[in-house]
Amino acid sequence: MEVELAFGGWSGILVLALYGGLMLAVGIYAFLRNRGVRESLDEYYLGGRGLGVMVLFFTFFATQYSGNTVVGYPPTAYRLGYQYLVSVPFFIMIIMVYLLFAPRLYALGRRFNLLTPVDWIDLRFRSKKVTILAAILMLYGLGNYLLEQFVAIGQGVSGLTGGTIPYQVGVVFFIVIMVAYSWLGGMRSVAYTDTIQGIALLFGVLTLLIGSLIYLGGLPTAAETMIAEAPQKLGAPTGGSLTTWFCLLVLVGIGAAIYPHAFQRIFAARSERTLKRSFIRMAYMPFLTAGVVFMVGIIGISAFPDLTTAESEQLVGMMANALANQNAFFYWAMVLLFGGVIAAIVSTADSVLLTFSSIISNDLYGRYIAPNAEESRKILVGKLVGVAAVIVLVLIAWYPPGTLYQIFVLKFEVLIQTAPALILGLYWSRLNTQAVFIGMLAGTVLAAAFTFAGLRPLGVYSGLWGLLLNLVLCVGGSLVSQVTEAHRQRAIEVIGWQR
Amino acid sequence: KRISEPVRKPLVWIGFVVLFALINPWYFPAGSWSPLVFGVPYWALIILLASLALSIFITWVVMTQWETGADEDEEL
Repeated sequence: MEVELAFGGWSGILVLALYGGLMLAVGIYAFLRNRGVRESLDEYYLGGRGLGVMVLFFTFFATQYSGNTVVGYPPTAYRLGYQYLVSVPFFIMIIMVYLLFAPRLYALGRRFNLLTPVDWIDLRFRSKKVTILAAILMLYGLGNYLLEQFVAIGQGVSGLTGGTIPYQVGVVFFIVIMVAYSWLGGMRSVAYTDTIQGIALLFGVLTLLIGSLIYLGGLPTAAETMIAEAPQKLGAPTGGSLTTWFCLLVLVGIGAAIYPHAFQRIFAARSERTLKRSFIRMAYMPFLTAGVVFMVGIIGISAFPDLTTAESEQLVGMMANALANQNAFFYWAMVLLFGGVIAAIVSTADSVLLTFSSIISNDLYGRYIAPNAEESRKILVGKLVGVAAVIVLVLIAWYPPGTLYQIFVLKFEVLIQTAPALILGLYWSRLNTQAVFIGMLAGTVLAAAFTFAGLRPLGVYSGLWGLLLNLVLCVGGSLVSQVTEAHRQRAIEVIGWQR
Repeated sequence: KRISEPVRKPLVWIGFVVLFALINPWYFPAGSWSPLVFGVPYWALIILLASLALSIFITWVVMTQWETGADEDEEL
């Protein structure tokens, strides 16, 4: 069921064109303010480690909350009811997990000039196979994440303009703009545009909630509908739902905190104080984003009852459409909402692309292929490989393969397997390199196998089974293996950074 | 210098474990939803309050338990 949007067509095109132009202007501004950006890896990929509180906060925010948060979460809340309230605490868990490793990681990043998550793994383990395996897992997970964003951009643009802009044109337009501003200004461009994108997203979801409360009935009306038609949507979770709730808190909490593009932002903070203040702000954002879109989904239960699963996927479009028909203010507010949705998708994609390129520049080309190359050359290679990857991913998005499509689904399941090396490595000097490698590899294989086979033993997600095996091998292997004094001393030199 | 990392503080771990337990809805009778408060099931409000408590706890941890002096290292 396609929703005929009252605000599609030319007003949608106008907003998207203005938005694209604004992003490009920000990229050019960042480039002109800092022409040396192409000469230094630090400058290009980390904004010279100089991001201030507001920019750092918004780049964390816009990277963490993607377009799927706005478009995908309300339909899930519509179908599951209050069982999906878990989306609020799981975003808070991400910040809690950060606190378990960010303080030390930031300090080590300053001391050793770390640039990427793989950089940290190489410093800690000094093992080519661990470094390359971690780089491959991160590039693979990031590639799939980027692919998902490209598909969402095309669908979003096509949906917003009522098909006036075809799917392919929307994808190419925004990807060209995204690559252009990222190419010009690196992390500073991405962070500045993230600030604009974050504000657009916040304005959009809050307006959608206010409009829904005024025109589409509030939570009491939704509760009456649920009592009459689906009381299970109001009830406290039981059995399998409790397991799912627990798994989501753990999987999202750890998985999203060690997303390579989120992890890398810790190195970009101007100071420890800046990073701390950004985290404090982030701790309350789930209420203003996940909480708000959750309420929108619940209100939809009474506003648009009895939708099928496929129809419910269009819920945000239906609600925006109903509001746009009310008056001129909500008409333009809903146009801006959809501009904000596209902005949220692009702001996640640009961060992923930048981190993808940095791993190529610094960790593969710069470490193993041409370690003596100029930094400007390493940056150029990272950019070119990034653009080549984008072209391949766009082709996959346009012509999805009939078979083996599941290999493009794996991202969280794979990325989370780097957690023991990234986090345990910070604190445990005995952690054995061989055990880390075997754990990471075995965890990935198990998670992938369970995902492909559709297995979820005990209702626990495949990524968590992989992580459990990974941890057992990692910790068990380190405890039973001999550890040389030289190995421990080197580890302590790296992680015992306090004077 | 005073060096402080949240991960080394027993109080941080105790607070985290307690709040993690509270943001999981295992302690409510299965399927219960009455009373409704402003149209919201009572258990959902308690989960939201526990989530807010976790956000406040994070603020407290960041403000009082995290001081590595990493930037001073650079200046020395």
